[in-house]
Amino acid sequence: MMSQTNKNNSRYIRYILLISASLWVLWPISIMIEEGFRVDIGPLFSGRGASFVGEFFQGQGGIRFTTIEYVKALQIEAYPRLLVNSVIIAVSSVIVAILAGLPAGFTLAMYKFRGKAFITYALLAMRTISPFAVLLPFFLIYGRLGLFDTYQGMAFIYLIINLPIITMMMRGFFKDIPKEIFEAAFMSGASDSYILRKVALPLALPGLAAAAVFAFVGTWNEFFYALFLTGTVTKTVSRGVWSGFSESIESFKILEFDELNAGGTLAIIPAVILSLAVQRYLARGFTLGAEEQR
Amino acid sequence: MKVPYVFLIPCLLIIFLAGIGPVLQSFLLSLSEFSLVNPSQAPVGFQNYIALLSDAIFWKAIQVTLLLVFGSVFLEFVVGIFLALLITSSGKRARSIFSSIFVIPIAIAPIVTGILWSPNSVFDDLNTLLYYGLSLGTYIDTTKPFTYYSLIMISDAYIWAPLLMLVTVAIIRSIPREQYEAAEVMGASSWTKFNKITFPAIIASPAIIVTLLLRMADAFRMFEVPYAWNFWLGQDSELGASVDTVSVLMWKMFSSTLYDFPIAQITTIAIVLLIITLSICALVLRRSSNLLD
Repeated sequence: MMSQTNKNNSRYIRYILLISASLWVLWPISIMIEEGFRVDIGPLFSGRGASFVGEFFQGQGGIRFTTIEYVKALQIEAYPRLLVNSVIIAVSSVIVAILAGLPAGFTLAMYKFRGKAFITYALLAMRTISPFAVLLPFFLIYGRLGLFDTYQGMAFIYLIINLPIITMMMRGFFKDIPKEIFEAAFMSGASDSYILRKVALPLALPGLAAAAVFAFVGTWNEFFYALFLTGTVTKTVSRGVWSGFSESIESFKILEFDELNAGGTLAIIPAVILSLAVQRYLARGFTLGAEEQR
Repeated sequence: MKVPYVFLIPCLLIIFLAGIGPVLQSFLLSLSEFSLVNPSQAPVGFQNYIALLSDAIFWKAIQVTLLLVFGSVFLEFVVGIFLALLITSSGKRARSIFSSIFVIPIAIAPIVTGILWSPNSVFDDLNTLLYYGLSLGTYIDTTKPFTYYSLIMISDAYIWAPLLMLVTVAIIRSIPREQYEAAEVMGASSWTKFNKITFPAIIASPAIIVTLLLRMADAFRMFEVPYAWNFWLGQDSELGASVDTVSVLMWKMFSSTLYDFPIAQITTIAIVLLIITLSICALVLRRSSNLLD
């Protein structure tokens, strides 16, 4: 009897904790969405909004629900162009990363060879490298080659992020396939490229999709390279969310908080949906499979 | 069996062109005096490194970075374990719903997180509630150093605690059930079970160590959130401001018109930062049980 009540109590406590943890996650996001609608709870209490929390706040918010910022972002201003830019850059970069990373991941999964530690270490280093360590050479070289603010140039830069992800995630997915399958194929004398195309790839296809989606989201969210290397042509969505977007992509605009939030909300929707679709593989993606125990 | 080296060529080509090549050039630039007023890129020696080591602004940035690295990673670790315990002790349905909710922040661009936790986002409403709503007459002053350092750590933990949660959940799942059953037979409380079984298993796992190391390497180059806070605090034109991490410092040197585009100095800092992350990567490779098999 006593233990029954205890059990129920601990269940209630657990649910209270689960719900408060969800609030911690969702509260800031809900505020961003709500501010995008220009809703502010300040006037409910004070009639004028709280204006003491930093010099940026305008203090003139109110309950005047309007979708104007979202509509403006999607129809009037250059926001859709930013979305298209991000998609073009991310998709082309991920495709190149797959072409280079898929065979490399296969080799890393199947064979032991000299230089394996070097490649693995180089990929780890590329994943953690401070962008500033490569930024200035790219700046100088892109200026000389005319690649600055071009789709090719940006897609190439993002290989720094995408190549390690695709190679190492695919290595993990190939490792997940039972060894016996490959042994049989190798016994029959099939070539490596035949095994990769006809045996390994069909079995790892869901993994390839997950790796591609993961790399896409990473590129979509990337801010640093976009801040320095994109301009009026290739400006991406994460940069646009910060620096503002207006009538045409060329004009810079002073940042306004309602817009910032409307833009931010629209930018995270695809990223969240895609990440939830691959949530089983998030840990493998972020640590390149280093955290797995075999 | 013959290793198909051809398969590695495209990957190696990109590693050299996008990674090693630019890094080498950065290193050469760090040995020069290259800037807007001095266009010579010829190496002249290690004087930039020597000057950097006696630069007060650099050391301040290192201190700020270290504070934020250890603060954020520790917070992520604690919140990650907490979330993992909640997830693993729930039923199947609750587990899948709540773990989906908990991983949402990982998908949000760090720059958007900088906006989410900004003074005029969360704290606008919270302070209104505290000051007027509950008539407490107090509010959270986000311009106080303690507050904004905490907030930057919280923002970072907000993004990355889910990663630690996912790794910790996998570790807890791999603990044999019998250990808990034996503990229950002996009448151990939940706290004893956590303290004697779960927590030691988490700490001893190479998975958590590798993840924490990689998070530290990432946090050393932390840019987006402190960058946003530079603007929230109005410090964006001040070199060596209180939220300048090493990366933000380099950004300021790069973009400010006050300095004549000191490429040599910026690359020097970048190389020092690179040495730190490269050493962490070497540790990761050493501690990881599966990367090289």
